[in-house]
Amino acid sequence: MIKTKKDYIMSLKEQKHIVYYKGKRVEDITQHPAFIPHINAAAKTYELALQPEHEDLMIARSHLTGEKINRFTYIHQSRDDLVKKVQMMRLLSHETGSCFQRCVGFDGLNSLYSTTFEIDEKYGTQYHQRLTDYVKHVQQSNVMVVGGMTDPKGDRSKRPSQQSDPDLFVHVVERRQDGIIVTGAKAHQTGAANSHEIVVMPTVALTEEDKDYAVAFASPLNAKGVLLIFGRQTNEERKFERGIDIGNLEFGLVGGEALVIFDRVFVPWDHVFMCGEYDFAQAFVERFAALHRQNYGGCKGGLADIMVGACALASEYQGTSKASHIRDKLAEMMHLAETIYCCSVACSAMGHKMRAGNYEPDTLLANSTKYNVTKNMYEIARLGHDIAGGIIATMPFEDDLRSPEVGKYVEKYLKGVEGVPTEDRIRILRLIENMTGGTALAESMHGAGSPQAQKVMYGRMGNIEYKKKLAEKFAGIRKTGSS
Amino acid sequence: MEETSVVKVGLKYCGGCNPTFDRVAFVKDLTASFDFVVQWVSFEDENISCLLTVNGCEIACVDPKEFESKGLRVFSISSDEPGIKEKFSSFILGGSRHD
Repeated sequence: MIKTKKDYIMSLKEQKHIVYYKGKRVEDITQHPAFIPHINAAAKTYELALQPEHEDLMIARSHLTGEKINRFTYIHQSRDDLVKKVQMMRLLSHETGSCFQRCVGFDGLNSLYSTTFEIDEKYGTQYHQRLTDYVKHVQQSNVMVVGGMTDPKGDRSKRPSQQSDPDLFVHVVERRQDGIIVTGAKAHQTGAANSHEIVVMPTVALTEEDKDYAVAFASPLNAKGVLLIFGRQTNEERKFERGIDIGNLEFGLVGGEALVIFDRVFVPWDHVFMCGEYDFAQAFVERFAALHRQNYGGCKGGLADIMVGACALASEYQGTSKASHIRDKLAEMMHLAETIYCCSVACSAMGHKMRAGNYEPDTLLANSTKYNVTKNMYEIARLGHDIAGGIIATMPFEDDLRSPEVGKYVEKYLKGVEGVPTEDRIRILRLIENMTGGTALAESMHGAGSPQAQKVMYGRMGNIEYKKKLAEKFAGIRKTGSS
Repeated sequence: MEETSVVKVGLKYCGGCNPTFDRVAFVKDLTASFDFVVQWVSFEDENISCLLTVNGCEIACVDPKEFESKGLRVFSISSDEPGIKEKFSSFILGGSRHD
């Protein structure tokens, strides 16, 4: 069982999965600077679970075994569990200042838990028992599971079965007595490179023609035919540096993403949780999306807390902290952060029990959460840039500060108020710059689905007919035929 | 010379999602002051009669009633208010619950 950070790192060393970075295979990701910050962040999900002062959020008791388990492997049993998940996200953001990557697999297992139960109800299949057995394995081993959701999608105007290249969505290419063979890819897979296993799920609503694409399964990432290509991020090269210029010294700024390729990968039947039941794909996707969008007010809210603190310090270091407009902007940042946190708590508090017995958040409110995140995090970054000043885009390197020739000028001309070392000012401004850079913001926009994916849910679940009736009632409008 | 008897006290923290004070530092200071009369153990230890619950804010996610219903005497902290050591001292000596 993986318990400690050391266990986690050792397990990654031993699994020998195939990962490519910048055109070359990486033999040991735990020694490679491009992966270390993401490994450190994910390791916090193990470390905090061992600390009494965080156990109340990080540990849950399995409803399957009665054992204490890491909450990232848990199936939610109440609304209180859903709230605790959000609180855990905020805590982990405070501890990493980054993405800790373990939520996608967590949400995949929870959404499959209810969906497999209902597929079995309709078709008499055995998916739920298989999934339950798999969840027990995850709970007992404490492996990190990446959620394989997003397919490359190719031509977005076409369905999976209409694509000129059939592999643009993961699909079943062969059914055998002992299992299935799958081919395709999953894109933007946060934490995949430093995970142990992947749970693959359908990513869109499907029709009968797309039957082979209605597939959900679990696979080790070192299975034959699985290959990962790590993505390049904004300021990627800073991960190879040391010191101030990195921004977040230990954990990076976002999770590391990878394109995960499946080239005729064999999956035994006991790890197959959906195979051909296309009529459940949409329900599954909506459940997964709700569970995943629920998180964002917790994790991004936690990152926003750090941004607020950084901007407050920057204003103190620069002598602007007493200006009323700065105080107002800091209040606005906190308002935006607490707003998204409120949304996550609300969709959890309004969660509901599924037929399988587990709990999922309110779908529409979870979508509202994520939609607000796509806006609020950009506004928080905008206000952060405003408070910090243009210096975040023009500061010299740390090497200049340390230089025997020019260090004295950096020290002199980047000085803020008396009593605050120039280096501290540079550190906090560099943190703001890095936390508000390209990939960090794009993650807020597109992680857990792009804003339009959330907005369409208002059309589906906004209950507009009821709202029209309310308006008619107060306007005194009577429909023809009514008394 | 009178011999001091040692009391086993369980320690239960909230998860610490957004604390208003440094719970760990505060408890470290408090527990150090009572090391001579208290053996600090996990809240799950079966041989405890007293519990210290530590919440990081007034929401107080750790509800003392949950433990009181199991027959434990509970001392609860939700802030770094002054005078806590004196209150905890009287609690240990058999005084009342605090929250």
